[in-house]
Amino acid sequence: MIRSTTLAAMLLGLLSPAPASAQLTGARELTTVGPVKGAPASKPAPDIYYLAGETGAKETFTLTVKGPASLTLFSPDGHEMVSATGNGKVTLTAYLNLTDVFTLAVSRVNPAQAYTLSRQSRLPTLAEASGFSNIGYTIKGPNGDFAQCWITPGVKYRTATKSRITENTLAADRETITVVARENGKTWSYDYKMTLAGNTMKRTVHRPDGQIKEGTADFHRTALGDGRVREFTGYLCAD
Amino acid sequence: MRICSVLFGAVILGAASQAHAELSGWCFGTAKDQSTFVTPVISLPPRSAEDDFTEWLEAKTGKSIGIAYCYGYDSRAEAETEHAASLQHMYGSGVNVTLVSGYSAPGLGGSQPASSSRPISPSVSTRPKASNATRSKSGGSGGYLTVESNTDLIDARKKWEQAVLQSQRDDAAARAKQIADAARDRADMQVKLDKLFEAMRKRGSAQ
Repeated sequence: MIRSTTLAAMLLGLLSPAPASAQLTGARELTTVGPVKGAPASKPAPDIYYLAGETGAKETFTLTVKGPASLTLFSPDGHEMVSATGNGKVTLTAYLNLTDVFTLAVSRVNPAQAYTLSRQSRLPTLAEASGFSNIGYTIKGPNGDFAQCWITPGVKYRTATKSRITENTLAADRETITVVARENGKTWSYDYKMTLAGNTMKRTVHRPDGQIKEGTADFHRTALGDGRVREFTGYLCAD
Repeated sequence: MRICSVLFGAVILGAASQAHAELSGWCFGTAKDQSTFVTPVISLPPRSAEDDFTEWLEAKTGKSIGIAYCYGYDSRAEAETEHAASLQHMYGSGVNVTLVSGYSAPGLGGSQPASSSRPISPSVSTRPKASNATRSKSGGSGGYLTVESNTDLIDARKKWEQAVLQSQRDDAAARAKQIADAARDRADMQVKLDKLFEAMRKRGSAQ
């Protein structure tokens, strides 16, 4: 006979969420420390890796395997961001849009083939960390939606509200962003740079007429993408 | 209809004759130059996923092979029948797979029309594999497999490969959020995320 306390403990165990480690079964962490080796498998199932990534970081994943294969990066909320397919050596480059946990899937046509997978991560500049935040998402706000997507990943991205569309291009210094904005039939442009003093982020705008305008914002997690209502609408712009 | 058969048979059969080994199967496939081949083999290893024996046949022949499928039948006709069924399963209706009887012509490294070839008649003794005993026939000439065109086969193969990879990507997508959520809940990953944020703040301040 089962004692009532034992039964209660069993019920509590059933009601409690499963340990995180159990839910991670089959997934391995991918770090930048050396390549990992994937073992041959008997079934054509993907291998899944997870990684802690930083907003604005340029991530490069390299898969070496015999036969056709693909690498696919998923956002922290499970949306496919970008994928690369090849034969022999597959390289996938992505610019992260959140500081969060991402997942990467390795798919092989021939699961009997072993493989190696490596990860390289480039530290973002402040312009990249702030500018690349949430690219791929549409932010839902009280003043309307704010959509962001890549035109040329790592270089040019588009931001759009209901009335204004801007195209933002990162200069070779990776610090200066050139903005071309269109609204109500008008087009204008400017450059800006970001700096950080303590927890205050300063945005210095250089206008074509020589005027300089500065604005500030708090630098905290919200500024880097957390805590806002967002919907994944595509890493790459549709058009 | 173009018929293209590149054979490695002479190499395998030669080895088989010297070793007095038993013929244990047939392999079909595509060479790196996209020509197709068929060859008898000995000592066929256990079946692998998707009947892919590419690496094994490469090691056996020393040839560079695109893809090879092998079947444990002494009878070539039966091996071809299974291969045809396997191809239809893999490629669907995207490619016209045809079995033609009266095959012949081992021409190592090249291709010949069927009419100019001689039947393969292995000089080695044959013995049905235990698992296929009830289906095996004696070895020798039988049908050979070809397709309407190599382009059809290549296109169909690419489509099949894309479908296999897409299927795995879909599977991964279904698990991605759950895995990311579970990983984020782990203390070690939370520490890593905090460190990334703090490092970003320090770097930003240093600029």
